[in-house]
Amino acid sequence: MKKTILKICSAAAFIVGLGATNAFSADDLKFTVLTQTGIDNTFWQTIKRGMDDACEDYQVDCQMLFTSENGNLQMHLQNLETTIGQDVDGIATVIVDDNLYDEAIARAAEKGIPLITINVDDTEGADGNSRLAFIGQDLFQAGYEVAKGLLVGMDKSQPQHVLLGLARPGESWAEDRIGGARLYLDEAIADGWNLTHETIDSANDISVTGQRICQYILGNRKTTAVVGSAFWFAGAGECLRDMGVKPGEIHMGGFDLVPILLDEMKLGYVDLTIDQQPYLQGYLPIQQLYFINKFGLSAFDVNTGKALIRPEDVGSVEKYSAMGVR
Amino acid sequence: MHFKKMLQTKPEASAFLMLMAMTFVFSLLSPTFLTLGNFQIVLQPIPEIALVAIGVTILMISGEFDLSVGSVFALSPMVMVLLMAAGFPLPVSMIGGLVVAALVGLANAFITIRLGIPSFIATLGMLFMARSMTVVISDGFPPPFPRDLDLWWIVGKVDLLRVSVFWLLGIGILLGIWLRKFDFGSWIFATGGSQESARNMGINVNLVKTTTFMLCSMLAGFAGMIQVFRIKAIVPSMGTGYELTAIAATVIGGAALAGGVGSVIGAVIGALLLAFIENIIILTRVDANWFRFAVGAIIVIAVTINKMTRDVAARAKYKEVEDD
Repeated sequence: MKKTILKICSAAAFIVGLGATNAFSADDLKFTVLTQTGIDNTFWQTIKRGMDDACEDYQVDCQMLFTSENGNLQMHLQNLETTIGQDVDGIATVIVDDNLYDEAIARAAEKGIPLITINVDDTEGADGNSRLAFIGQDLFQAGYEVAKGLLVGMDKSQPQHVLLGLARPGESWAEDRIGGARLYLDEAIADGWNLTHETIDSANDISVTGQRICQYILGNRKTTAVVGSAFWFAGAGECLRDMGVKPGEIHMGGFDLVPILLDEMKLGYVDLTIDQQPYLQGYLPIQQLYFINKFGLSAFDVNTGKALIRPEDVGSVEKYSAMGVR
Repeated sequence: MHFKKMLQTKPEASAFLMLMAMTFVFSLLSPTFLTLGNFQIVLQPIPEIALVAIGVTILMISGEFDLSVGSVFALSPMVMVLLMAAGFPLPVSMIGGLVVAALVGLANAFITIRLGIPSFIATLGMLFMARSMTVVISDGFPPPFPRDLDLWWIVGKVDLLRVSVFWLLGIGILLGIWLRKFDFGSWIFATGGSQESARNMGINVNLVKTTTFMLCSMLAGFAGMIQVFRIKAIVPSMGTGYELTAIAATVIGGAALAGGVGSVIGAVIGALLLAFIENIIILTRVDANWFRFAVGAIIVIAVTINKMTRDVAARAKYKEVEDD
């Protein structure tokens, strides 16, 4: 009932809001993009580049708000509330907790500020709060696809043990991806695979994650595959080589395109990654917010990708990764 | 009694005993723990975090804190990699990165000493500024690290160890001798023990603190370079949270938060203990959701045991003096 009321308020306020924002020329439009990560997250710099390009293309005033450190949800919420208080013309933000942001998003709707979620959405999707649309990856599905893609290169007749690296326990984006991978592995077990899996807190630092994965593999020699919830797992390549692990002996897969991950793919230690095209997650919300304000068009969901990138694809994506757009 | 005296006079002694005890207990918990292969993996990042911890320890002995080391850990190698990408040779690029680290330390010292801002606050500000600079100078997209560089001299493998372990040993021994055998080392202890007394003794307290601030930053920067050489990649987020790990290692190693007490070997032992703790938690397959709780709990236990053993030794010494 509460959600229904919120949605009605959202729709009504949005219509009222449109009336108010129609008076602006495109040059006056102010959009804010918010995330719960720090400025040092390379992945989010690609989203920022997409945002910057869109803002230049559409001649709107944009600002991206990071938090002082990764995963500071309270600061992210505070930034969101401050932004709503500034009466901006549009907001794009991540929703990494199902309940934390509901009131703030409802307030944005009441004030007629169109709000689109990007990168990470409420796990209940559109039912979770009154946001207008989601632009990003279906995280659970993406995790499912990574596990599925890894098992393609493995032998069903042999015992397999998969390590699932949860980069930030408790944050929905990581839990969703690992949850999707776990589901596929459970389905594989039901399908007759002689397979076990285990989840560890793998951290979100290339060096620390690499160490934890290698230490785990050393203590659990039956490990045959690793699923990372982001790109940090690629840090394991160096210590796997130190351990004498040959390319292809342990299958690794995860997310995003960063130079170290592409390097490890070329060296044969990473089998696949999923590119969620972060540039689009920065560009498209600005485009949509612009059209909402200028023409009263509706926001719409965009799945920015679950494309598997394998070593044979590295050559074609590497130059775009270096440009900071993939 | 000699044993209790050693606990009292050597701040790292109880940490060493704890390291031995934990090594024994951990070896019972996991048969993999004491294997050479495991030590090879565990020791890889030790030079990096131990060098940071040594810098923080020496600074803490002089009575100050540095929370910006994690950010300098990223900023300094980022400068180095950007200089390399601009065509400068590796030695020049490394010097460039270390100079930037030294300047950060100098700025910390200036804000703390000249402006009278507590170092806890001054370096907290620098933590954010240095991290921001790391992103700004690379425009968010650091260049790829050249994999074809010959880096044997710093991170190459010597049997099971990395050469970086020997760098740690060398730097640790030199700084240990500097602290214990040279006048300047005594001045550092005196400044941290009682700044006013040190000043009355004619010690240039400001020079001592500025030196330790700069040394701390440079060690953090050099440690960051070692990590970049080892993993052959640079990301702007590297070193995040290292300030807390370094302080934990320092305190576990016997350094006093109030200053005047600490040792280089204690910092290394503290870093080793933290690495062992994390290692055993992974080897014993602690559930992901309990991982950080387990790390935190063992750190608290380690520091508590450390303090208790020192208190016991102190009481014994007090009783000995009373009996005399």
